Amino acid sequence: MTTDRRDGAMLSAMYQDVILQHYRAPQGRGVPDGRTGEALRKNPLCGDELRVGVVVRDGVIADVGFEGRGCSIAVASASMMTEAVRGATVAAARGLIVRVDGVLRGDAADFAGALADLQALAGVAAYPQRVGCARMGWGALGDALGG
Amino acid sequence: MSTTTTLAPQPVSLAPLAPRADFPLLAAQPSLHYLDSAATSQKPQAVLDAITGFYSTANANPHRGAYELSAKATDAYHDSRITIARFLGAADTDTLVFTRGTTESMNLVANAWGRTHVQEGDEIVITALEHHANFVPWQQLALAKGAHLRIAELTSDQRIDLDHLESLLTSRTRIVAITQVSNAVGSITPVAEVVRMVRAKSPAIIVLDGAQGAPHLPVEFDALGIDFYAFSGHKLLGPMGIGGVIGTRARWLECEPWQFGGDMIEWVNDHDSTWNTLPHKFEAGTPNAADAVGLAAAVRYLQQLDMTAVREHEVALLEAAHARLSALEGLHMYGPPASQRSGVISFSLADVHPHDLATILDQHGVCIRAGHHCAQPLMRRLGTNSTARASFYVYSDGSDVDALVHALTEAQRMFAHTPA
Ligand SMILES: Cc1ncc(COP(=O)(O)O)c(C=O)c1O
Repeated sequence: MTTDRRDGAMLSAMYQDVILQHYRAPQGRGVPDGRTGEALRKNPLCGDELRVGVVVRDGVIADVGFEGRGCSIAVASASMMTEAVRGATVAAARGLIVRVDGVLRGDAADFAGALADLQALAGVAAYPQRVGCARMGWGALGDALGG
Repeated sequence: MSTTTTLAPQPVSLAPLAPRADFPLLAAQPSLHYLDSAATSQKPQAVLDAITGFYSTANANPHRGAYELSAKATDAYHDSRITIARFLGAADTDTLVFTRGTTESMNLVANAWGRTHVQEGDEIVITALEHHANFVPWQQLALAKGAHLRIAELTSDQRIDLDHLESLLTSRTRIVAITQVSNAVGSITPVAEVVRMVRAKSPAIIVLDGAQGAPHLPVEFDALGIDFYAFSGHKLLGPMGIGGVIGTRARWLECEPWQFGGDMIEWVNDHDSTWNTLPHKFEAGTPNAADAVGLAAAVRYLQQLDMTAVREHEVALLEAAHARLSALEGLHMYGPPASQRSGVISFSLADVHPHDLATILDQHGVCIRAGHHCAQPLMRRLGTNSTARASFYVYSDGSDVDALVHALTEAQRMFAHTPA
């Protein structure tokens, strides 16, 4: 299990510089004032929690942010999430949540342009125990948007 | 950021106490550094052979058949009970009731004794060190009965604060449930002192969680002066799915059965039933005889190693690891000094989340646990969600410590590396 399935390349595919950058300097830190929705996600495996807050105006995510403690994957993924959905319509954000979920399950990732950072999440799919970490911020966003 | 530690370290020269060749998994994966024995231990061939031996030479339903094979199964099960009870220092071997492990044992005591002896307004005392298995059953019993759950707090190095514990004991305390050794930080409870305190201040029964005690320390149930002792076989070289609880005969007589069915009855009438005697009264259904036989083999293996030597081996590993880990910048270790700690090192590394550490260490063949270790009340008091934990056992050696330290420096390097 431990050494045969994974090699160093897989590890560096998960811990890409993009991930480490977002971890060291997360974007969207702090749940925004005047939020119209918020939700808490917990990872029972490690006890980490992330709270996401959104300000939705006229079907558009005017602001989004998160707070809480997490590992590099959880924090980087949440940080990327805030960058990716700020200014997006709620419908587009929901679509993105589904796409990211697919990528974390092993679907091919084809993020480009403003979403290019999300490409890095593809590396997490090889580590099933870490997929839950990457999902926390996105799951909380979905909950915060309601339904 | 944190510097890479590049002192050419002396390898830790400590041989394993038990030959790795005895453990098929370790023998097959020589580059694996299994440092998660507090979660479950590896199994020696002798244990696997005993289980296979039961199924291939003695398999029949114990207690039920009037033929020789069933008698053989019954004997194997019975002999295992004697071996295991004696290993844990219980002379009255029928006071060992087999369960699936510590979790089931605690639920057994909470139901079989707790339900009939805890009333509204009574008090149950536990500690902030407890594993959820020795926390939630009491929390739920207190909720169901309208009793008060009291939680003894800890010292700054995560030992039970005995003064605080003492202050919680009253004439209303019915149960004191406490761990012998913390799985999360390794603290060893001074049981004799706790027993003295409890006996002086309250009529409470004392339930000891021996899940981490039985594998790592010599245990003499009869000398402990407690009421119940729970343990898990899989943490002491035995198979998963078997463990037990030893109680004094006096306390067992106060217990009501908590599971009903075959084997635990004496006679079933249409509208009532009578119960079998100890230990069968608390072992409803076909017993896990094969794993009891496996556990007895594990116990014999440990007896050969000698539990005092097991403890000494772990202290040596702890001290070596402590010295090496202390040299790592940003590494913080929880828990008391080695003399008051079992073979567990719980730690955090600045800037690297425990979950990241576990993944990176895994890459180097080092298996550690990252998380709350089923001790969320303790994590809250440490002001964290999780820690990283390395734990040792009889097959651990200096190379495991070296590999741990090496992998940690690699993790530090990876997280310190500033991306372009
Ligand atoms: C201190 C302690 N108590 C209780 C348990 C529960 O044991 P089990 O899961 O074998 O029932 C464990 C192990 O996980 C433990 O370490």
